[in-house]
This record gives sequence, structure tokens and C-alpha cells, in this order.
Amino acid sequence: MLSQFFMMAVLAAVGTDSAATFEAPVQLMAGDQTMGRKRLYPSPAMFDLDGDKKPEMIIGDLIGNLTVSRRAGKTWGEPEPLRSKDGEPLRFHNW
Amino acid sequence: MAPQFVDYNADGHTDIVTATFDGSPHVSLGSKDGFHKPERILDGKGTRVMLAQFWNYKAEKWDENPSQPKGHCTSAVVFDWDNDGDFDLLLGSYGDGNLYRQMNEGSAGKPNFTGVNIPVLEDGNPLGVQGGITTPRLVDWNGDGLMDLLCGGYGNSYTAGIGGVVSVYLNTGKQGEPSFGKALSLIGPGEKGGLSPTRPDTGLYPEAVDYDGDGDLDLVVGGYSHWKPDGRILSTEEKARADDLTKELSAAQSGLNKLYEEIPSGEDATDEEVNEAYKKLRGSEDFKTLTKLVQTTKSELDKLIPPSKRESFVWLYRRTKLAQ
Repeated sequence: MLSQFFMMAVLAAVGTDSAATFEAPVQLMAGDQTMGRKRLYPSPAMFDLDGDKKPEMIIGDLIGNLTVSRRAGKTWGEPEPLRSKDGEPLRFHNW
Repeated sequence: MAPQFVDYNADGHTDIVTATFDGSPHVSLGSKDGFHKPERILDGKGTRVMLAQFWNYKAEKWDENPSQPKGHCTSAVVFDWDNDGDFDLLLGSYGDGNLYRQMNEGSAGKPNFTGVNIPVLEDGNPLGVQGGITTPRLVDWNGDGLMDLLCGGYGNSYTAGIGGVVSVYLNTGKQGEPSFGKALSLIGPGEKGGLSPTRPDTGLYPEAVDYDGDGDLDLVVGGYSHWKPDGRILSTEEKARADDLTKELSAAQSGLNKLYEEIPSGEDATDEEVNEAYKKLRGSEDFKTLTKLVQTTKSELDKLIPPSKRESFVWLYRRTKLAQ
């Protein structure tokens, strides 16, 4: 059984070099939606914004918007706009 | 855009560094009250940092800066390349996938970027990410105390071409003198075209992080999945209808393409002439009729034969624990 699991893990591995191998990728969820859904080129970053030692998931996109999802057990909460000090959604200038 | 959370100006507050599609890096400075409105990162002469291609806000058009290397900066991170206590810039180029560094001759609190973009090398040659670079990330991938370079690739998002990749370039230099080896594949090119989304195929934006707290680096990757849902079995009548709709759709699209051919193009066409031609085209009855025909035909056809899908997601690639 263990060797069967081992073989499955190897077959699912994606890496093509000794640098690393990975399990088959899984979609992350934010709230009840798939994370990054309907975002233009979603770019994730994990960083502890509020200093609670639990990194948040920040998603940027091509438009210049940023959203934050907080840990919710093993998944992530609904994405909310990352806001500036004035309370406005932070938006990076784009063309 | 791939945000980097870092204390850019060494004031003890986290800032956000990134580049956007306008061709330049930006920073949102943090403070005790939160993030400030993003501003453009300037070099020591007060000039906008860029590669050759950029969006000219004044002229409202794409422009070229002949004094800079060919490329379009759409990603940026800061990194103390020479280990002198201040951050230097790394600029990723969208189309050709090259990476450049711009050194900081100022200090941690007062950056003074040189304005000179120097190619970053991969095994002695200019680094080039297949299909264009989404973003560089600096991370100690192999745990040797040196920062390695992680890069994502766009791949071909709109045609049958090769998909995006994620690679790591191990740093074989020393502190203050990075030297990156050849690309090691972490995620191979997306193949596109399965029956359901199984991975990011194009536009791969990676983040390396110990997601599950097991002591090794996993990858969180944003990107587009491309797939073609399996359709149901059609009756004879439905097959015939689908064939008819396919022909009608093709004819309507050809008609639209012919109308677009009337738009002036080439170097002699002025922006005013082109805008006026588009306005006239969109107002014409032929254009409206053909556009509506394409929409209704495609809508009916999609119900019979599901179209290919391209949607954005974020994926977790958890590092495999293999027996030693």
C-alpha cells in the first residue's frame, strides 16, 4: 500500500529536474469561490500584514488592484480590497 | 504585477514594490497609518525607471526609449544585489523574458538608482524566460544561505503555442556577487486542452513559501487554465445544426474581418484617421448586423459544442516528500 502511494506521488510529480518535485496541484479557495477567479493575471504573494504571525494571501492583478484573503482554518476567507491609509482600495497606476 | 512586500526605504514599515503594464516600477510606502498612494520609482536624475517600451502618459500612446535595452518592464522586485546595505532593482521584461538589474548608488533610506539597466545572466548568457517573464522572485531555494532566482513565464496565452513555466536559477556566486546557473524546471510548460482545469497553463505567477509549515518551500502559482469541456453526444439533427452554425459563424466572422480591413493602417495612418474609421465602422448597419449574427450563432453553437475555456485560478504545488 505504501509503495503504491509512493508510486502515485512520483507519477503526480511535475518537476522535471532534481531541483524539486511536487504533488499534483490543487486549486485554492477564497470563501466559496476559487481563488483568483475572474482576475486578470492573478499574482499571489503571502505576507503577514497584520503581525498575527499568520500570513495573509494577497492577490495582485494586471489592472493594478490588490486583494487580501485571511486564513480561515485550512482555507482562505473572502477576498477584500487591500486599502490605503485613507481607507481607499489601493490601486497601482496602469496605462 | 506580482507585489513584493518589503521595507523599501528602511523606515521600519513594510512597503509594496511592483511594476505594472505601463512599463515602470512603483512603490506604495507604508507608515504607521497604512499604505500611501503608490508612486513611480525614479532614478537618481528623477527620471522614470524603465526599459525601452513604456506607456507615454503625456502623449497617450506606447513609446520607445532608445537609450534603454529593448524590452517592456512589467515586473520588478528589489534585492540587495551587491550586499552594500541598500536595495537594487530587478526589472523583468514581458515579451522577451529578459531580466535587468539597476544598481542603487545611494543608501537604504535614500535610493539613487543609476538609470543603467544591466542584463542579469543565466549560466553566463542573458537570462531569458521562455514565453516572457511574469515575475522574478528572490528566495533561498536550496537552503545554502544565498538567494536564488525564481522566475515564472507567460507562455502563449491565445494560440496553440507552448504554455508557461516556473524555473529556478541557483545562485552559485557569493554574498554581494550573485551568479545564477542555468534554469532548472520546477513546473514544465502548460500543455493546455484537457477536459478540465488541472494546472495553470499560461501566465504563471509563482510565490515560494512554506505553505504547510513542514520546513520546505512550496509554490503558490497564479495563472490561466485552458481546457475544453467534454460535450454531450449529439443527435443526427443536432450534428447537422452544429455544422450549419459553424459555417454561418465562419461566414459572419469573415464578413467582419473584411470590414476591419477598411480601417487605415501603416505608418501613414494618423490616430485621428484610425479613430474616425473605427467610429464610422461601429455605426454602420453591416457591422451591427454581422456582430449580432456572430453573437447569436456562437451562443447557439456553444450550447451544442462547449467552447474551449480559459479562466484564472491560484494553485498550490505542495513539495513532495520523497524517501531518502
